[in-house]
Amino acid sequence: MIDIIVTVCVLISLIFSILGVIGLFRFPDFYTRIHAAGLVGSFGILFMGAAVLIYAAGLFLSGEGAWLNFGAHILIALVVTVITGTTSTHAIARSAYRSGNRPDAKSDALKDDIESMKRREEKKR
Amino acid sequence: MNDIFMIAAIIFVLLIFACGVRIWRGPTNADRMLALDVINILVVIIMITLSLWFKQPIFVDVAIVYALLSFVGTLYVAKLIMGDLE
Amino acid sequence: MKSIFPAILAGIAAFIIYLILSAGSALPNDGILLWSSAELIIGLILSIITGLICRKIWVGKSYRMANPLRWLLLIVYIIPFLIELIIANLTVAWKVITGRNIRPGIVKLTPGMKTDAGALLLSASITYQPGTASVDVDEESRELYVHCLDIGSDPAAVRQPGNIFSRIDLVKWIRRITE
Repeated sequence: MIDIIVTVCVLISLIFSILGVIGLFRFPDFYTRIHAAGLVGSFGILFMGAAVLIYAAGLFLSGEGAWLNFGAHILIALVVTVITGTTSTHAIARSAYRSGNRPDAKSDALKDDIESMKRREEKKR
Repeated sequence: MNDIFMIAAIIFVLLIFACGVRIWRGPTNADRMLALDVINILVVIIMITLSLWFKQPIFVDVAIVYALLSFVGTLYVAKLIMGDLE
Repeated sequence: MKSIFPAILAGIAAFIIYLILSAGSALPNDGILLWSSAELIIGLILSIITGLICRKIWVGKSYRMANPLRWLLLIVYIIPFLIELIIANLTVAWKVITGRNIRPGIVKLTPGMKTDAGALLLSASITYQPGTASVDVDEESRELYVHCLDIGSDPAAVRQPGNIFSRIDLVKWIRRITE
């Protein structure tokens, strides 16, 4: 029973990672590729972590105490990945926009405000 | 049970090579940085998969430390592209 | 005296993380719950040292998020967040497969958050969902500039803060957590 659940979780993680990397090649410009990368960072790693957690829980319930340690480490790894992945995605998008990489989009609300915002931050420094 | 982890790890390594193609011919520097970020996440996933394959919990510790260090590297490259470094 | 409270908070946070990392280390004859006594003593010493080193990062900040009830609410917040995450993932995966309905655009959000923690949690939630990514933040008025994969045929419709997520109004949840 546990084997089937773990296999399904690994397969879902594989499918979403493959779709994310395909989207990295298929989408037209940089800002849309961010969303394809987010596919790997969210479901790719969450379902692999869930697979490992379920597997470790199954081994722990069958009497091997060392796997509790394993599950706790996986939880910490998932939390760390969620926080760092979010922050680094935001940092990449922000630095790309400020270095002059403009999206080819219909509506761009930031284009009018970016100069005044930069000037205000310059003054504060 | 071990086979599916082995196959998954091999497919993830192939995905890393695909991201390497994006790094090689990315039109802008931001694309290269994004592909590098995806590679970092994929390395963490591979570490977790290997820890299941070999039944070695120490791989997960390596994954935690790798995630934190690659995060610092990504932030540094982002500042470099933005032009904040003097 | 002013830096005693931040030192205690940082020490408690460090001790909790140490407890999670060393869970399951209890020996058969000596141990309290899940932890062996040697791990507990070393963890206490190390977290006191960490608290003394890190006491300056919380000086002058608001202590509103130090309330344990808010952390409990933050854990409950995972459930609606996961539901939104499933919807967003399936939508973006379908867009990758078919390649249609890709109408990107940057929209401006005015969520009206009163605290910095609320703005942080909202922009992190937006960025973690595939399909929306916060590009820039106005630090004074806490306005977000969000890049959406599909802004729809009418660009003005998405600008309401409640409309950025597809089903559940997560902005209301975040306001309940941080204010």
